Amino acid sequence: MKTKKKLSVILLIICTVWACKKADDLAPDDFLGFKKPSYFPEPAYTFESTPLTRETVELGRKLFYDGILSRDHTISCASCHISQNAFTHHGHDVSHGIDDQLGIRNSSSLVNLAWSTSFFWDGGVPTLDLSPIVPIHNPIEMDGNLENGLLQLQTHPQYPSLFQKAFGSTAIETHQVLKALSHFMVTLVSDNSKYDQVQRNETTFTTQEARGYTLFQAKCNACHQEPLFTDFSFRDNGLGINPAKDLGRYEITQQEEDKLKFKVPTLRNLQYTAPYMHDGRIYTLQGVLNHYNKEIVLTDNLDPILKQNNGIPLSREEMEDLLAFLLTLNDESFITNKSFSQP
Amino acid sequence: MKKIIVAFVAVLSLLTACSKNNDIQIDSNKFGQVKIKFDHIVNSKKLVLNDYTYSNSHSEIFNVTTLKYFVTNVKFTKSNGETYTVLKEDSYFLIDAVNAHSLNPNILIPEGEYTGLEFNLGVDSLTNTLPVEKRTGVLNPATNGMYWEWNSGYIHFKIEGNSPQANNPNNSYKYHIGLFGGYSTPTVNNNRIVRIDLTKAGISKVQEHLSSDIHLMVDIGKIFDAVHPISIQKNPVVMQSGPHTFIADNYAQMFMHDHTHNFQKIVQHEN
Repeated sequence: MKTKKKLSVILLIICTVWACKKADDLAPDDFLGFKKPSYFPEPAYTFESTPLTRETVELGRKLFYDGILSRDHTISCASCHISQNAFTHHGHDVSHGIDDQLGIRNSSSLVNLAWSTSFFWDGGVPTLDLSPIVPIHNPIEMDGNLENGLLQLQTHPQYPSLFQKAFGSTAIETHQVLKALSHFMVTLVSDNSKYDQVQRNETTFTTQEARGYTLFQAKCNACHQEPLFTDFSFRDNGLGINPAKDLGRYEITQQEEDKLKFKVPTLRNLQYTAPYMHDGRIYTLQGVLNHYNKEIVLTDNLDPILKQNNGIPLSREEMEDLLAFLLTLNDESFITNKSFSQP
Repeated sequence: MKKIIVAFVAVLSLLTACSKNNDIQIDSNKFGQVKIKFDHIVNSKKLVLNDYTYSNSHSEIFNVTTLKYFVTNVKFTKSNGETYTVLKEDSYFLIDAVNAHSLNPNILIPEGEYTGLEFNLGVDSLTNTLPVEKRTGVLNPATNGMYWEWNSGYIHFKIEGNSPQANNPNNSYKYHIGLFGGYSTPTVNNNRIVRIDLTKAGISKVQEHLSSDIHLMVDIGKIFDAVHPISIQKNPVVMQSGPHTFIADNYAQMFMHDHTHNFQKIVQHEN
């Protein structure tokens, strides 16, 4: 308890000092931790059991970029989640993992994960902490074994001391590996797109972007809710069945009404994250708008909003306006942030 | 000194053997040991991994290469209906046929005479929502092969083996039964509560410093035939599709109480 108080005092002092510093004074490696943007909702991820520190985040970052947890040390998290592409596997409809084997889903953008209430396209994992085991153990992704991974980390020249600094013990345990990865991933906050700058009254939309924003609020925001641009629900957006026969959420719940439902993805950083949809079938944003405009498949579980309006009817001009707005969701500072890249 | 103790114990045992049940001094503030012995058979033959062959009611021949299941939420009841529930975090057991130590879990419970044993076969929904730092020991998601990563949840029961009737390249069958009811969307729940009446084959008398050994025969043959006959040929692999709920109904039936050894000396440094 006493240490907690002491820590709080120290933190307060650090914060005060920080507040007095100008942004320009900060060296690029200065640690900012996790900060909730004022206009974002409360995050789902908490730090009650394990405080986030520079050491936990830096350890997570090193693990994220290290192939040590894969079977032959060739594949890391970053193999399919590339920082310059907003942590997607740009240009790949589905990702290739170990031995160049292909999966059946497009690798998701790792962004604003602290707010996510479920993980993966089918929401099969309820917490961020349990998510990294999926690709680590998946035979076509990293084909690793976390139990072996722990042994490798324990005998590694650097990791034991890094775990000591992060968690206070050299014994490397499953939950510490997972917490470190989570702590790095929750720092991947994107909140500096033009859209965000407009929210903070630092700039304004062009007239075209403003028209697009109005359209967005009327026609897209029901699912891609601001400011995270997803409501984290599972919906069938009329793509129909693909050659992999991927039934999405149904694979988790085995409920008929979940067939072909996938998690609504965020729209942030769209410019860097092509191709689109759960199987990466659409390569351009114009293609996505065409899908909603006139290519919707009338499946059994098609989302009521799309069913009701027969997709999202848009005129050519409306599409241009909407695209102009969607491009304001790109956050260049996010994809160039040095503290997110390979250490 | 040793001799005296042995003699003393012998006399005590004799006295105990002669005494009636209600002569036992029970102090419910004192704790004694219960050891539950899980002794595996397949129909009427002892379970020997890999080497022995068995058959089911479909006349399919099979062996067993892997057998693991979770026993959790252990409770003891007395004839008056009183219940003692073992602390949840002390009540997670992974019974693994390959690991002899895992087959005899020890539990400390208050002194008394217990007429019923109850446990959950599987890992309940509450446990499936534990934060990762609490998932240690047998609950470690990385180390026991009893956790589904992508549809996050523990595997309650796992049996694998070979059968000429399994029509796949390795002639193998694999039943991994999980699903606990779902995190946000309700799904199938394959946890099964097992209630065992101890009155027919010997109630459990728990005394401080002594062990009451409850010996269960666990008939793995029931997996194929207890309630719903399961054909290996039709269902060589059952995980999240196929008759997983049928197999769960079957595994709920595989425990039989054989006998109880009360007032057993506790051998120290026991593995």
